[in-house]
Amino acid sequence: MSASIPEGIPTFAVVGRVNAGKTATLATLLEVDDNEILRVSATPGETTAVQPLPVRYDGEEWVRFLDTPGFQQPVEAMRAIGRLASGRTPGPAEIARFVRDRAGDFPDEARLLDPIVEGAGVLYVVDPSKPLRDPFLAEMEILRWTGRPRLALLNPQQPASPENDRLWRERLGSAFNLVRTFDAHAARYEQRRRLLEALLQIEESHAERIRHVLDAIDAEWVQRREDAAEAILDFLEHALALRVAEPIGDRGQAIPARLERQRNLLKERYFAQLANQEAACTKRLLAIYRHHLIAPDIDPGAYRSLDLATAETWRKWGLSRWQLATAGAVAGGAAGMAFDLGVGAHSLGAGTVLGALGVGAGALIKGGSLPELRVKLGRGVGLSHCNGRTLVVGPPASPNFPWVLLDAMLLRYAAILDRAHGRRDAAVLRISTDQSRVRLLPADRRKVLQRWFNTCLKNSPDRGREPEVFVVLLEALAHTVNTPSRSPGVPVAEGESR
Amino acid sequence: MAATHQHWTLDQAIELEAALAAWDGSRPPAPPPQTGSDRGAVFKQWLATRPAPALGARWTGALSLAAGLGVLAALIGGAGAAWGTLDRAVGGVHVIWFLAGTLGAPWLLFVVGLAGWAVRRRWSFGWIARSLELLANRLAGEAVARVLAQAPASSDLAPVVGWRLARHLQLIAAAFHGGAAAGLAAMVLFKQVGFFWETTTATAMESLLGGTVRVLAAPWSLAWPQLLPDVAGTRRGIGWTGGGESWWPFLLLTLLVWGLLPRLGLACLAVWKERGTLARWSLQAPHHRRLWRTLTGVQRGDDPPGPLDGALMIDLGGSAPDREALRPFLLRRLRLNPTGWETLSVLDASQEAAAHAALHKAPGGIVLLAEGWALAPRLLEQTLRTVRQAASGRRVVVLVGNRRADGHLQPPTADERSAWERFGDSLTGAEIELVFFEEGNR
Repeated sequence: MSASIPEGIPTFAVVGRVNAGKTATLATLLEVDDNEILRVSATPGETTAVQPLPVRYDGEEWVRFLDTPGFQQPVEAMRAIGRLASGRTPGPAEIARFVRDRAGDFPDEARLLDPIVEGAGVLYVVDPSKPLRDPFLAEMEILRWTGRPRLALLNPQQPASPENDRLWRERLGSAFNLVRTFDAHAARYEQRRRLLEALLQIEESHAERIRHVLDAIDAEWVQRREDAAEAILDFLEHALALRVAEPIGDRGQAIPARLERQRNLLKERYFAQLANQEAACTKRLLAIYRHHLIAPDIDPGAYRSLDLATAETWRKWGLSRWQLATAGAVAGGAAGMAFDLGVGAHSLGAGTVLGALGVGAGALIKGGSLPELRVKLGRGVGLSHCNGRTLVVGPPASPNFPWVLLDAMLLRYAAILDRAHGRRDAAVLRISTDQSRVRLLPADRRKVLQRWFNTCLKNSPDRGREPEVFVVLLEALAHTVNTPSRSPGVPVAEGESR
Repeated sequence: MAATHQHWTLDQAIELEAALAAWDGSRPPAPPPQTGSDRGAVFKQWLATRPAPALGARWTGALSLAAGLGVLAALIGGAGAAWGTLDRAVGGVHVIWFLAGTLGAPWLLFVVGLAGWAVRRRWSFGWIARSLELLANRLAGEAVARVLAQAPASSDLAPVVGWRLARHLQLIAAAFHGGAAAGLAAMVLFKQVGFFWETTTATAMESLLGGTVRVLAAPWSLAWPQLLPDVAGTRRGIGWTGGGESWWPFLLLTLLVWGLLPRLGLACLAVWKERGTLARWSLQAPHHRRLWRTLTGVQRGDDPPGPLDGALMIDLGGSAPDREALRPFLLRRLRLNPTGWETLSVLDASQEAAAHAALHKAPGGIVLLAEGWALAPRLLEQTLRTVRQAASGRRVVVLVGNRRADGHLQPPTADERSAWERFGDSLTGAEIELVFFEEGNR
């Protein structure tokens, strides 16, 4: 065994023509978006040497992938190997001789075949949008002669014509144990997992280790979802409790224009702080999913992310008015019921009925209106220069506010899951306003959330209810995983090659 | 999200919270083996690997001690309350005051505390419980007090502490009733006191007292009707000279049946509720979830190192070619990735110094980029000597090409090429890799 093929660890060399997307495939598969580790670019020949990429979990290496330079002279190499076989069909021995003796003439082919000769399995990456030419046939033939387990990956860099696709599949089917499609620029968790499962089918001797990796990535995925739910929960709790306050002097109270200016300043500060919290949560989500290139779409200086002043935001995000009314009625009813119980049921349930009707109707009426920030001139600490009056701003009065915040985070989460690590455009995470995620939540889950939101808005989050809310959020995130975002997601930067 | 099947005790629960408060978020070197989704079992194993300051045992011990002091005080207080109803001037016990002070007042406190809990929904039982808690904190020390100060944040632990306090409170109350009963017995045995009642509204009070006595004596009146006191005959009139002995068995039984026994029953209920709460402890608070993920989650290894093909480009003379245009040639022909650019043989001494400092950095090798027409053997020999020393075994390449006006390189002329080849052949010592830029490889 060579240095790049450790004993007992299943190793797969990712091979293919120059610029076929080998490195991008590995970057997506292993979730590496760092060009210092895996260089992905449109420049042919970007990978200059075999690079080992161990998959380690809990301190142990379980599987190893090898990024290799691409085939440069496959036809000539095939002929050279054929000559070494002296008229017979070449096999692993001739490939080994070729690597040993002809490395000077075919440096790239020797480099990429060396680990295969040493025992690595083959992951052959091709772009089915390209026509099937002879050099590709030569590559397939050489790889067939190695006698190693072989998996072909169709990595379409542009939409492939059905004819091309058919031709590729037919040809690959005859030379490879398995053919799979893996779009390195769009593959999500499920596709990555399927690719690893495919390795099980071609490399049975190391099934145990590959299965361990599958279990580990499953566990890691669940763990990440829980981390993401924690992040969103923290964000909602802090964002809903957010208020900015400022003592108001006597003159400030006496002059309406001054009070108005102070109010506007506080509103700006409120939105800037909200944007900071939102950015921090988005960064946390990006880090959980190992994204470093992409940046949140939030500018605390000019609050553009949620754009709470835009009617469209409130129309498309959050709950519909009827959903809001239902959720509000449940919360109002619960509060009314507490009153009924408090008076020993002497109110004959009037509290429950009135609470449900009042809050529900209020949500129905106010649910569609543009939100106004709550502004309160309260009595604060008695300071001599400000007469103890404090101006408190936030949160928006709309009952949809928590739902809009949650929707924004769920949509960002979906966009993050949609982003493949093989992409190298350092774009901004953009989310769609086309669809609301919270409207898809079942009514009973919305009730749980609404009750918790109400306690957060009062700045005393219900800790007893929090585990239940956590479970609801987990379910919502799991649903997001199963529902790919149709949003524009992350745009490809201009001039960026896929 | 299954609840644990290995029940916790309050000691262990406090221990866990204390350990979590001191936990730095790191994973232990040998994480406990996973036992399905049983958080309790995994957390207990984790707890066993931590230093054991026994804060939980210390606090519950301190609480028991504080409660013991409370029981002692309640015994004395109960006896004192009973003695306080004795009118020493006439040598008789005022039964209304006795019932109000030894039975009514403690239950009134209980009802007020319960109403407060129902309204505020907080696990606090008023000032007595608070005093008990403070005393326990004082006895147990600062470290425990700090952990318990955070307990309200853990919604699961607060009710458990609440039920433990409730248990002790009921025992204290039971002790008060017991003390009152003891006081009553002592008065009857040693002072042969009489019993009476008096009021300005005699008829109304007689009726009320008679009704109260019947209700209080209901549990035993059918079996022992002789133990009912004579209410009408014990009203203290002007010439009252004692008597009313029929009251003391009733008062004693009332204290036992309506005071001591219910309080002991409530204490048992608190024990049962505490155990039930601990049995249902889901360990789902945010810090529990974090610990669970840390202990049972997988940990991915560090990212692998990047490719070792990074090359330092040294531009001799400062021709400043278009770097992006040159990169594909370097990648394909030299199999090197230009990661740093420096300049030598220029007027700016700081640039030269920076180039010398950078020589040790690039792992792939060093590429000296020279223009075809600019071959200066003596200068180049000197530069190569310096570079070779710094390269210490790394690849050293001299790339020759001429810069066009647009910044791209073009191949050297045939004359330039042969001059460079002669120069290359003339060099002694370690070989250098001489490469000419070629158009087709750009």
